[in-house]
Amino acid sequence: MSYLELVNFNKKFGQTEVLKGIDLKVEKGEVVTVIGSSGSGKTTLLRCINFLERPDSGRMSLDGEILFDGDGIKNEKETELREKRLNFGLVFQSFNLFPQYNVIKNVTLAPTLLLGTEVKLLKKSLKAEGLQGKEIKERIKQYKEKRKTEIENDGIKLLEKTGLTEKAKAFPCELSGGQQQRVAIARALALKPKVLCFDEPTSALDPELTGEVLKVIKSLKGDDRTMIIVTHEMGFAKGVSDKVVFMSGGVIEEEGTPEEIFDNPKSAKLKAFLLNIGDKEGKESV
Amino acid sequence: MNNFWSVTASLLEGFWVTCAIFAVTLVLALPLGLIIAFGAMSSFKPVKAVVKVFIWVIRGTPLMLQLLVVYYGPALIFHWDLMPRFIATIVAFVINYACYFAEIYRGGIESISKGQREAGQVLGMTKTQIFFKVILLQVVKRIVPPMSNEIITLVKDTSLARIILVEELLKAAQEFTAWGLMWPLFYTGVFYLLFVGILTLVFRGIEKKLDYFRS
Ligand SMILES: Nc1ncnc2c1ncn2[C@@H]1O[C@H](COP(=O)(O)OP(=O)(O)OP(=O)(O)O)[C@@H](O)[C@H]1O
Ligand SMILES: [Mg+2]
Repeated sequence: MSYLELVNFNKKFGQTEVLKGIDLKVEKGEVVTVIGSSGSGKTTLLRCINFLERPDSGRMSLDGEILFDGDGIKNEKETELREKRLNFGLVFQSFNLFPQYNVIKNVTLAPTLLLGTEVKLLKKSLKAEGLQGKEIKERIKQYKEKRKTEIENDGIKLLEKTGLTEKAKAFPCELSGGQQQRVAIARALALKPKVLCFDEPTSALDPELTGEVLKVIKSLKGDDRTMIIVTHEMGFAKGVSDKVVFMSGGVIEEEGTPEEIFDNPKSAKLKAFLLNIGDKEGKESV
Repeated sequence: MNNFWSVTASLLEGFWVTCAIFAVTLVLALPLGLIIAFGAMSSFKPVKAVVKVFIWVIRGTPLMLQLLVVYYGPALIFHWDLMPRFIATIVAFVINYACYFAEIYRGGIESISKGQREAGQVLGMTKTQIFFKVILLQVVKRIVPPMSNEIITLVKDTSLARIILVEELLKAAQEFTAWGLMWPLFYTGVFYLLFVGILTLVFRGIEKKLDYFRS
């Protein structure tokens, strides 16, 4: 069984069928890029994986655990949903940084908020151990302080990794698009998702800024980091992917290694797509 | 001079009532408006419909009419005792202003891009966390200008309470016309202008404070 498996994903918006029986397998540590023309359902697929949309039918499993299966996906409690969602990270095309927080706070906010849940669990287990109220308080205080330092240090490391150390105290409105997107990547990484997804991470950027973002994404490869990247940057897809998936009209038309997809396309649709996009982007590579 | 001080003293008494109407209305209408706004945005259709009609009625009729209805209505329709004038004023003002605030809140909340909420969701935040940690401050920043307009209007609207004989600033001044004095009426302008002036400074301060980010 693969690390991440999607089986027969279907999704309709009203009458429009956007995903028609998507099957996808991703191995641990694998980088999968998804290409395809506008409207082919790439974003919808990522949104389904991240629980922002619910497929009408289908099954998804991660690391042997079934995250949803067919009809049993509608009536989940919010907490369950959040827990499942935390397996995944998503970097948006439009960054969606929190404008009122500086860079480091953008990165550490979510882990800090999750600390509340951690503390609740700890309290329960300490109570079960039969500890006294005062002792529990003391232990929780220690734990909180320890975790806060960890979260802060993790955040600083992530900013180093994304080349933003000097910008830690800057606000999003003071950053270039490329820097903002790198913050968004650091923010997603802070929760250590098992699978990190990117939806056209450079499409909103000026051409001269895409390089720095793609470089950061490329540097994430390895360390057992599983990634699914929707992109229009063919040179990048060629360089970074273990597997390339070509979507068309809500189905996976063709998939394979970068060589298979870019050098030996089989289906007529993929050939046409590459021909079309080739003139514009074929020369660029990162 | 004697004259001036006695007028000032009685205008101050009226001004105190004006301030009380203003403050109590604000303190009650600000949170009530938020509740109404959530009602107007409810995904439960009947609630949404009722709240929207309510807002439409309140915003579509004069506050003075609402004051009269609140004060005389229960007595004329149910033969209850008249309630204290000040209480009636507060009831009418709070309902009226809560509806205006609700529309401002709603506009502010709906103007925040869907992406902000989704970013919170994929980061595992709860709905409450998303509202308080992500959305709220951005909404506040956006609604400060329309809110300050509305709140400044409230300062002047307090004078409508005069219609049910609440002893507020304007009524205090009007009483002097019986003695043939016009200038106390103009004198009230000083009070209103000072009040509004201070509020304007306060709001400008808040806007400055929130100037550090752009959304
Ligand atoms: N919330 C929605 N409601 C209705 N239709 C939608 C919705 N989201 C997407 N669609 C439709 O689904 C189809 C696929 O959209 P999607 O955004 O997944 O495509 P995409 O492959 O990401 O395209 P692009 O390359 O332009 O980003 C489109 O026809 C779009 O209009
Ligand atoms: Mg898309």
